[in-house]
Amino acid sequence: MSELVVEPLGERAIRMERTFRASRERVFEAYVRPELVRRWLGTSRMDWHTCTIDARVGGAFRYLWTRGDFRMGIQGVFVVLEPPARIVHRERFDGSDGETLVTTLFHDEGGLTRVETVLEYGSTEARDRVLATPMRDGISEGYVLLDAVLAG
Amino acid sequence: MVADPARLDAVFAALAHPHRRAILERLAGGEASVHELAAPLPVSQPAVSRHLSVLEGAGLVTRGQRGTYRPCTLDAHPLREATEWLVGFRDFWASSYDALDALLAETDAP
Repeated sequence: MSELVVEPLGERAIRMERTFRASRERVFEAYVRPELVRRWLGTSRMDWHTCTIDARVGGAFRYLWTRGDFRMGIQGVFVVLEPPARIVHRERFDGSDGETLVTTLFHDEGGLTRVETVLEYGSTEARDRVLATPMRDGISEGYVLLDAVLAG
Repeated sequence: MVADPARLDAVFAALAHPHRRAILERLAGGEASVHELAAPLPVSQPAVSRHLSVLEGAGLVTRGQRGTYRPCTLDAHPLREATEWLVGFRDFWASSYDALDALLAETDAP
């Protein structure tokens, strides 16, 4: 219901913000209950394979998506869980040695919820790699080609 | 996020030329020789060979040898990796949050 804000923050972090038309309790719940997370996190380009969440401080979560023989996985551990206001967790993508510290704040805005997320990476390079967009010369055309090739 | 950044750079660099994309499109239809690949393009055969070297370097094309016939074959695997990477950080979250909007609307109390 609002524009997604994605911006660099300092040297090594990314800040995101988005507002939802629901109470903090309900939005928070959608972040920690696997049957709800499965219904929104990810993209239509990937299918859920595994979604487990042990929503306790020190508890682990595991997300795994697949698309053909491609797999994208994230594993993480909760550092802070303060319903309905704050989640802090560490996460790591499969095949990456970089760990990210993610702080998610749920702000009450008169019945709406503004979700503010700060992702802190290990280095500026790691952060910039995440922010890089594919909108370089030829890439968007390449994208169309990729779809054609993959469909064939 | 999973793929090696250097390899992704090679794939994107390879895709950034219209003749190389034309070559890949042709190979998506089946193997072909350098001569066959050069025929529809307004460039010389050596130029096509140079493009093939770039595509080979990116792991997108392999060249075989059957007698005097040297077929070029498409390897779509790096394309698949690149496609998934192209989802991008912002796209991932924009798409996820739109789905969260829908979920929250759906479970709205009456």
